[in-house]
Amino acid sequence: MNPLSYKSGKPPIPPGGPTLPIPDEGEEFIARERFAFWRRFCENKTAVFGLVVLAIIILATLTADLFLDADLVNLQDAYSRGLAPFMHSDKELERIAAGEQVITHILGTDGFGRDIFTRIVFGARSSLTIAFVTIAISCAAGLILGVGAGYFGGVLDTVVMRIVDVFMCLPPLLFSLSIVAALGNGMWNLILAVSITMTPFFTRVVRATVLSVASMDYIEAARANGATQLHIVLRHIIPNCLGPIIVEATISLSAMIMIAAGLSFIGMGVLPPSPEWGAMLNDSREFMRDAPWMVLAPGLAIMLTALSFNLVGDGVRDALDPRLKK
Amino acid sequence: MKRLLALALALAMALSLAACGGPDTPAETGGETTPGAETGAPGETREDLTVILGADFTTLDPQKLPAVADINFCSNIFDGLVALNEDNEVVPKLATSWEPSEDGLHYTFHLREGVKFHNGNDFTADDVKLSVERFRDQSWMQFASFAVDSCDIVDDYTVTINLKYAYGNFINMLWYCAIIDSDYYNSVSEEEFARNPVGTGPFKFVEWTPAQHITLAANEDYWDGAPAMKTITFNFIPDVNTALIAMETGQADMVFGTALSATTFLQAQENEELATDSTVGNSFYFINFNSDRIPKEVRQALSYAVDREVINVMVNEGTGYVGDIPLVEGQEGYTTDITTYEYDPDKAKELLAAAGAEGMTFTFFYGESADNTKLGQTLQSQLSAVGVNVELQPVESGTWWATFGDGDYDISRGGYPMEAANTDSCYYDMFHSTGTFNVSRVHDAEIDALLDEARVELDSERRNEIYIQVNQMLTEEAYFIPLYFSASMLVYDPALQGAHAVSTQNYQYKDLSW
Repeated sequence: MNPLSYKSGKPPIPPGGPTLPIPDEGEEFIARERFAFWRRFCENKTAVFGLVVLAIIILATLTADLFLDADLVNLQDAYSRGLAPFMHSDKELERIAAGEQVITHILGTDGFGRDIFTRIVFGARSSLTIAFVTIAISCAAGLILGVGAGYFGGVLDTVVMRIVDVFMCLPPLLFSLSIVAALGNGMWNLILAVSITMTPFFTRVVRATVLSVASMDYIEAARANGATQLHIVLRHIIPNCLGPIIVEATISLSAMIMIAAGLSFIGMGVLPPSPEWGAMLNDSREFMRDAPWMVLAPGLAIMLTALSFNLVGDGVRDALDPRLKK
Repeated sequence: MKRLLALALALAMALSLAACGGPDTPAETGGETTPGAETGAPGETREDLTVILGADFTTLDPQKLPAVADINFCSNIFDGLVALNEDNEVVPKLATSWEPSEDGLHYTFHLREGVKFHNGNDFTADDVKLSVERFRDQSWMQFASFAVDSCDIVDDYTVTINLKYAYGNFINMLWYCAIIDSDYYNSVSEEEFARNPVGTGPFKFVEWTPAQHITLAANEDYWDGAPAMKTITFNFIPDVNTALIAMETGQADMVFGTALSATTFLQAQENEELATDSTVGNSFYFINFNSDRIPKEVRQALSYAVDREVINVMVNEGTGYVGDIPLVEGQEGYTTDITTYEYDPDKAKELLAAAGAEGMTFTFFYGESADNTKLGQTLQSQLSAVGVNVELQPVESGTWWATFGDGDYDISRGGYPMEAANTDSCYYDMFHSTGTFNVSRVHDAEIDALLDEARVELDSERRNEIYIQVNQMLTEEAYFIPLYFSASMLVYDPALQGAHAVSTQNYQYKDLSW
C-alpha cells in the first residue's frame, strides 16, 4: 500500500484525465470521461437527492427577493410574538378584516414577532456565503502551501507541515472561536477565522496528492523535455490534484455550515439582527418549551443543508473514484 | 450502510447543535411525590435548603465583593453594625445603639456583648476598628465608605466612627461594612481570607467548590437565635432553563436573580408544584446616550422614537415596571414634575430633521447577555423606523465593564441597583462628572454643584428639593432614556415558610423554615 495514499488506506485518485498525453483521441476521451463522472454520480440516488435539495436551497436563496419581502426580515411586532405556524395575531386579523395584505407565517414568528420563514430563507444567504467563501479561501491557501511543501520538499516541507501539525492539534471550533475572540465579531472575521482553521486540512490533502503525482513518469517526461518548474506545477501537478481537493471541499462544506452556525449560536459569529441560523437557534432557545417551532425551524435548516452537502460530497467522491464502488 | 451512517451522523449533529447549551434532560428518578432534595421520611421536617445562584463568586472577602448579589449572599455569613430591614429602615445588628454628634461628624456605637465569631473568637471593638478601616480603604466599597475618615476605640464595646464631612446618609450605607474578625484576618493571608470567610452571621461557611456549589451551615450560637435551616447548599446554574428544570425536578428549593429569566418565571407560574412571587426590583435600567457625542436635540428626538412599553415586552416579557426616573415614590427626589418623552415617532422624525440628524448611524455598545441582545435589537428596530441606523457592538461583559469608562460609543446601556433610602450615592455615581458609572457622560457644572451640595446637606427636605431639581435638568437634557425597574422574581418550593420576593434580592435565609 502506498504510505502516502489519500485517507484511510484508500488508493489515491489515479492521475489521469484531461492532461494525459493521449494522442489522436484526446478530445473524445475527455468528453467520455466527463460524461462518465456525471453518469456515475447520477447512479447514486442519495447523492442526487442531496443535489436536488441543495439546488432548491440555493435557488430559493438567490431569488428570495422575488417572493419574499426583505423588509420583513427584521420587522419586529410586539403583538405577534411567538405565533405558531399559520397563526395570526389579533392585530393582523383586524388588518385582514380591513382588507389589508398580511403575510402568512408559514413557520410562525419568533420572540420579536418576526416572520421565521422569511428569516430562514434570507439567513441561508449568510450561511451559504460563509460556507462557500471559507472553502474557497482555505482551498486556495491549502493548494499553495500543499504544492509548495509537496513538490519542492526540503526545509519548506518540514516547516509548513510542522505548522500544519500544530494547527491540526487544536479542535476546529475552539480554534475558530479563539480567532474570532481576538478579531471581534462579524461575518468577515468569522469567515477569516474558519478559513484559517480549515487551511491545514486542505494543505495535508494537497501535499499527499502532490507527492504521489510528482513521482509519476509523465512528470519525469515533462522535466526531460525541458519544462520549467512553474510549467510543471501549473500544467501537470495542480490539475492532477484537483480530484481529492474537490472531494475534500464538498465534504467540508457541511462542516463549514456547522462551525458557522455553532459560532453564531454562542454569539461569536454574525452580528444580530442578521438572520443567521445558529443565532436564530440561540435567540429562540428560551422559548423552546412554549414555542418549539422557533428552534425546530433553524435547526432543521442547518441539518438539511449540512446533510445535502454531505450527500453530494459522498457522491462526488464515489463518482471521481470508480474503483471505490466496484 | 455507510451513507445511512452519514445521514444519522448529520442528524445527530444538527440535533445536538439545537440542544447545545440547552438544558440537560434530567434522568427520571423515583416517584413524582418525592423529589431528589427531599430526603427523610414524610412527617419529618427537613432542615436543609438548596438554592440556585446564577453565577459563581470571584471572592468571599466581604469587602472586595464586586456585585450586589455577592454582597447580599455574604450578609448571611457576616453581620454589620446595623442592617436595613425590608422597609429599608436601619435596625441594630452588632451595634445595639448609636448616637451622632451634633455636627454630624462623629458616630458613637455601643456594641453587642457576648457575640462570638464562627471560630469562637469574641467580638470586640478591635474587630470593628479593623473592619471599618478596611471598608474605608477597599476600592469596591468606595460607593458606601467614601465619607468614612477613621474609627476610634473608646472601650471594648464602644467605638466612634469619624467622618470626613457630615454625611446625612452615612448610617444608611453602614450595613455594607461587614464586621470581620481582626485576629483571624491578621493570622491568615489575603487569599486564605477570601476563600474561608469567618463572620458572626447566622450561617457558617463550610465549603466552596468553584463553579459548582457553596455550602453553609447554621450558626447554632447565633446571638439572635439559631436559624431553622441547618445546611444550605448554593448551586451555581448559569443557564436559566437548566435552573428551572432543577426546580421542577425538586433538585432545588429556591431560585431568584440571574438564574431566573422572565420567560422561565412565567413558565414556573404555570407549574402548580412551584410557588412564585414577584415585586418591583430596585435595579433601574437606562439607555444611555453618550452626551459627548450626541447633541441634546438629537437625544430628545431619539427619546420620542423609543416605545418603552414594547422594549419591556420584548426584553422582560412585560414583567418590568416602566418609569421616568430611577426613583419610586417616597425616595428623596421623586417627582412627576419632569420632562417626559411619550412615544411619538412622527415628532421624533420632525426633530431629527430639524437637528439635521436623519439617516445617521449610531453604535450601541453593550456587554453580551440575553437581555442586552434583545434590548439592542429592539432599539435598532425602533430607531430604524425613524430613519436612524443602530450598529450593535456587543462585547464580553467583563470587557464592557473595563472599557465603558473610555466613552468610545454613541449609545450604551446601564442598570443600577438603586438604594432605597439613599438617592445620593446612586445619583452621584451616575450623573456627577466624577461618578464611576457615568455611562451618559454627564459633564454639567450645575448638576455637579447640586450633587455636591446635596451630598453634605443634612436636611432631608432640602436634599429632596435638590434632587427634584437634578431630575428636572437630567430629563430636560435627555441624557438617557429611562426604561424600567426590573422585577425581583422568586420561584420556590410552596412548602418553604417565610419565602417572598424581596425588592433588593437580599434574601436572609435565617427567616426561612419548612
